[in-house]
Amino acid sequence: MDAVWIETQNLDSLKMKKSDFDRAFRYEFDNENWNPNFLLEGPIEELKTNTELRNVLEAEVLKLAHDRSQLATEITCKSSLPLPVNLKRLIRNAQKDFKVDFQKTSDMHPLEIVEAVDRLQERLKVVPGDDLVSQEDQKNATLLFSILLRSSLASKRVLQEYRLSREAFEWLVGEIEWRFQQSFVTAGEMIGCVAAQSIGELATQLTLETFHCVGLSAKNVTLGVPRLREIIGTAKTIQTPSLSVQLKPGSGVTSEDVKRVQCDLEHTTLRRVTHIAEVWYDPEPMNTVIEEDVDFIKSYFETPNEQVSLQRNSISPWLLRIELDREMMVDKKLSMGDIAEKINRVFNGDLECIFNDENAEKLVLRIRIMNGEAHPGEIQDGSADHVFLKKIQSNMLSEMTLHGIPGINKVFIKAIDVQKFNEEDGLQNHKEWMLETEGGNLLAAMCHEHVDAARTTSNHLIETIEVLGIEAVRRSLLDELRVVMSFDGLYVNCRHLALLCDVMTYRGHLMAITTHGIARNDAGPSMRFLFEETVDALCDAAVSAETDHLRSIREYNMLGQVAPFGTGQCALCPNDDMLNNANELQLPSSYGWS
Amino acid sequence: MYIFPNMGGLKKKARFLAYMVKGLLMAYTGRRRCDNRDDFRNKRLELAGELLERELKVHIAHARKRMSKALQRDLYSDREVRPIEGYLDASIITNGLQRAFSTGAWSHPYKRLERISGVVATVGRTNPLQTMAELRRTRQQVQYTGKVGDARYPHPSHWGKVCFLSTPDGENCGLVKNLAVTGLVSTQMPENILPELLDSGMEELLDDTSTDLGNKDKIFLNGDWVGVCTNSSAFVTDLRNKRRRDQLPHQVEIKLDKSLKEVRINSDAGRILRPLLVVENLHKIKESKGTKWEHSSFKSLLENGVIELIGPEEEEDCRTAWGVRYLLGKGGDKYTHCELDMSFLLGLGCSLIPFANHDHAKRVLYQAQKHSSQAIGFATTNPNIRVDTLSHQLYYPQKPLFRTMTSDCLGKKWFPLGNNNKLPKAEFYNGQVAIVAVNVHMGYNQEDSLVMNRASLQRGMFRSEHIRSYKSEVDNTESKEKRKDNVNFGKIQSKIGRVDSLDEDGFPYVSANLQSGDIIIGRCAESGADHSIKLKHTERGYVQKVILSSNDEGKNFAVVSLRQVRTPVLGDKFSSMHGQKGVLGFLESQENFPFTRHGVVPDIVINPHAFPSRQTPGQLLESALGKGISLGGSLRHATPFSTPSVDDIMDELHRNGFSRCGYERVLNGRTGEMVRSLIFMGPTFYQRLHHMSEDKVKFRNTGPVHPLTRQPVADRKRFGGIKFGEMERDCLIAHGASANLYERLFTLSDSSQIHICGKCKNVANVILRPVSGGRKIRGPYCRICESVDDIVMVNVPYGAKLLCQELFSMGINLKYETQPC
Repeated sequence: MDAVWIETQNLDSLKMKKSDFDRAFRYEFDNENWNPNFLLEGPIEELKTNTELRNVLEAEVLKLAHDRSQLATEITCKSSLPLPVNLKRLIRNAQKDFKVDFQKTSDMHPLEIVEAVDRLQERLKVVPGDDLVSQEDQKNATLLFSILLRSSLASKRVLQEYRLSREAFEWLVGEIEWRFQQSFVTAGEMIGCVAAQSIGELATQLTLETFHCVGLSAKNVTLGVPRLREIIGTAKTIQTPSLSVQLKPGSGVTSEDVKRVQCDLEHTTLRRVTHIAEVWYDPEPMNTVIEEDVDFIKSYFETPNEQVSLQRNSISPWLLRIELDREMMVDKKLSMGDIAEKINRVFNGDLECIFNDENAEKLVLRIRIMNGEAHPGEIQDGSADHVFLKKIQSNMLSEMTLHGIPGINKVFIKAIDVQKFNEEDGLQNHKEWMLETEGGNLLAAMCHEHVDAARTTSNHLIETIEVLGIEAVRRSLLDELRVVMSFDGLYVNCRHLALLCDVMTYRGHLMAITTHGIARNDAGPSMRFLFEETVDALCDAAVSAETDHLRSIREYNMLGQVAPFGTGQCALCPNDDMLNNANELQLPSSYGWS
Repeated sequence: MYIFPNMGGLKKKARFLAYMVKGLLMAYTGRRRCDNRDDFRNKRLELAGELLERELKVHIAHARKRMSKALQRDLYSDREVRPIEGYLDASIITNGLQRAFSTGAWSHPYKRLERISGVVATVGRTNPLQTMAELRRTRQQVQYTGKVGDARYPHPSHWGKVCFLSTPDGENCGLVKNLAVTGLVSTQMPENILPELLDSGMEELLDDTSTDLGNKDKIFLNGDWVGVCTNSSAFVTDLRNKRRRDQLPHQVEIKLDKSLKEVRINSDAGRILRPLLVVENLHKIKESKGTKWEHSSFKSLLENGVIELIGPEEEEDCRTAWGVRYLLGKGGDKYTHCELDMSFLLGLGCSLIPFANHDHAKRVLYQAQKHSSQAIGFATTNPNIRVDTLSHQLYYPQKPLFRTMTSDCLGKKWFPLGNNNKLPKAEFYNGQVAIVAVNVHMGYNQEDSLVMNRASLQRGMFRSEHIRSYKSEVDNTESKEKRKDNVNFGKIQSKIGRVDSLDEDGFPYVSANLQSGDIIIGRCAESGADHSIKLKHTERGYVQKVILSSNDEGKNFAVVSLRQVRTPVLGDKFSSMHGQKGVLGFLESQENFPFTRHGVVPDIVINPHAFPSRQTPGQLLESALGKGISLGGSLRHATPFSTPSVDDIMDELHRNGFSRCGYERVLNGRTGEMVRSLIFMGPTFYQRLHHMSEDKVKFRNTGPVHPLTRQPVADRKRFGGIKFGEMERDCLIAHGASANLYERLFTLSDSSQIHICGKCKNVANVILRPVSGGRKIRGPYCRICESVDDIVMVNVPYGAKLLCQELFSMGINLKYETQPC
């Protein structure tokens, strides 16, 4: 389809409630008093009696219902799509041209209409060929348009809403076919150039600075020209990487569940919950110098504890005392026990960790090193310990993951409107919870039990291609480009963006549209030196004696030949046979040729 | 001690140093505001005299150093010491000044080795308003553009001194300012005013540190601490009265700063002052009727204290009324001063615009800054005698119907009196009054174009003549040195152009018609070489004047000026006084225009779409006012800020029998039937700008090419082409127009051929080579295979051949595979 012939059209069957749907498309055969004013007498009688006829019409309605659900569930939830052949306008033209009277009944039989529409669909062939691949291709190519066609030209609609006469309907069908043929893209169209210009022209209208996402979450998203540059250049590090996490259908319901998942995902280190961390010299492990802790130590050591008694001798006199921030602990839903357990797990028993009660005034964690016997190389005085302890302190504070997935710094809860399709009510808006993160770790996030791996996406292309593969990244690229363009309200037909995505991914890996991408792939030497880095590319080419097969337009221009694009795709050759049978003509002498 | 050389006495210096430290500490702690760099009280303007003095000083110092060096050389080497004039090299000063003037690079005020650029600029002579406006322009030097955002903003201290509307847009926005209408710059005063100060009650500062100055106010003269006084307000009032009585020079500024307990008196050069009416002395005007100084001059008003000059510092102490009528109202007695007129806060360009306060500021800026200096008017009053390189002259310049206060006030005493025995004004309006209808006209005036009445143009509306002069010099035949080839004026048969119009002496006769390609001044050398001056491809005209003369160096030179009469054609640019510029789109015959019942036909039709987004109701008001005036009405002034109200204008129109809102009932010129909607018509002042399509039209089929690349040259003057860039190439590609691209980039540009050897695939040369039989023929030959077989000729652009050869010189060889097509 040529983008020039495409207009946004409405698929109204998508938004209808069931009752509207029935009223628009279904014939009420079973109603005793059914006497429609839009059918002639003959067909009404037939419909009431002839079951074959009724089956045909029922099948039609069934197909329409199937279309509706397929559209909503598999394809898209938007009801206005860009499609060729503006059916509504053509119908209006037909009504005007043929002076359709809205009071009179149409002279058509519903069966005729159904058959005519079926025949029309067969004739709208985009992909010729009879093999299975071509047939599937053809079906895919005309899927949306056929749905639109069927729903607009359903027999009841033609008779009741549009009241088209036979003449008008036949003209309409012919017109649809002609216009459909007309909206094919011309062979030899320079789609690359057109796509580049379409995207580029819009890029000039984008903002040069990034915008802050306005909203409750106050989350930063790069937009505008810098984001476009990141996407097209497939930057390895991007300014605002983020994941958009959808939850499994069951677990996204209450905000409590969502909060739990949020806590699970958000990466918390000990530093986040720490208030103060200090190293003390506290020689007696059973007692303490610090006054605040006296009570808690005494009560702790009253209850006999095996571990402690065993290794009492080898406990280091140096103490790492960490005071935790109560609010943060509550916010992150952590308990002292969790932390202690984590520490023990990480350090494998080399550290002794004591913590006081949850309800005490201050939450205190006391950590001492266990000096095991089997450290022959180490000096047994206390001086090396405190240095070591300091190192442990910094390590624990920054590196130890208490909770969540490393890489995900912050998680925001967002409520979005999701359009769900329902047989009864058509398309309905539905509120759902989802999470958006700052920072990304797609692989780890997808493995979480409540996260719906099928719908979680990342906006970082390199990550997507590593985790999910090339096809996924093509789709992701398309989505990201759309987000950038549509933020400013601009519209680019998706075929241009799709072409760009395809060009970037068709080699099996992400090719950036920069010197690196274009120059490093298998373009000829002329393409490379004409793009950037002239001297380097030329010298490289010369050193390896490369051949340039002169395939691109630039090279044709450089060497002054008619490039084989557009009108240059074909050449005229004289037909030798006809020349043989040709008659010589005498040119009139008034031309002055001697 | 070298510190504070202007103060004598060590203790005085100590006190001043302490004062500076105190100021610094107070600023640091926030008790005193830091000085604002952009406030005009901290700025000084350097006028021409100061600049010249500085430059001259630098050069004289330079000459002196040279002189002393030369003297010393002679003294040391025991040579004869010549009289001193022999050592003074006057050419250092002459050449230095000349260079400064020609390059515009001036010496820096305090950095010895740096130069400021852009000090000298050619004054424009397109029309007298441009000249005046350029002479009143100030420039601010900034080293780095971009950071100094604050310097570009208007500051409250600019009020009345510098026009805050007219500033160029672009990189100089806010840095180049124009003086307001009544702004004056102070000059250096030779007199010392210290005695006056002492008279009024100042105690001199003693050179000790023991006297207690705690409760006394400090008095500063031009930044020097000269004394103290106890009662500062009385002191200040006394000084001001002295100034009003002409006992102190009028340029002196006196400021009392109560918060800092200082009195600052400024008398240095470079301050911008503006005159204000002194309220308490206003009664003197009435008393002066009959005395000798009635209405005589500004100076007499100044001497009698009715007007005084106020600078930026003193302005803070004045309570100024906006206009005289506010003085007469209820709160009139709280004012100390009064503005002369409300429009005087604008600059020259802006205050000539009628109803400027009704227009969007951007449009006023366009008019004041750009259009007024591009308008064609009466540039000089002696065009017959002058030979400018380029000058325009409007055939029938007119005065507009309205008047503004500024235009009324511009006049000189010695001009002959005009009507009404009032002083005539210097005319700064450059254009004509045209009847303008605001209407669509068959779609020809869309997007800012205008439709004009062909009959009016034939009667001479907006017709102008353009005079261009060509100058040429010859060597003096009487000079002592015999050059190789003496060039002289004379007519010879020339290969480069037509000489039909030249007389025997090498100059064309007056009123000869010269076209492009003609020789305008014939010069030939004794050897016969041709040095004539030829007209370039867009220049033509009738010879207006031929002048033969000699310049200071003794060389003969000749000037020939050509005159062109230009009636407006499609594409010429016009503008109203409100920044509504437009290009002539169509010339309509008079009979096809809509006409009113009086038979009035518009001269110009402007599209109504020009007004909503540009927001210039000033033009419509001007039109309505003009209609009222032309019918004999009494409202005339359209001064910004004191314009007649819309109601007054409507009443005036109604009194004269026209529709209140300026509408007219018109009849269609083509069909004769009445047009159902009313059209707004009225006389508006329009200017013709000097952008004319004839100066800009470009065309070329084949023409000169660049010698290196053999592609067409770029200049319009040299008959060049227009660049077909990469993006245009992309557009052709997107359309699939392959053959068009081929034609544009190859056939019409630099098509040429090269030869390629089929065997070794290299480029073959075309050389002269001997052939059996003893002759030499010119043909292709492959040097590498050393044969002539298998050589093919291909069409490639010359650029490709050039690239191939350049790569070859770099050591990269290109080989070509060929195929018959």
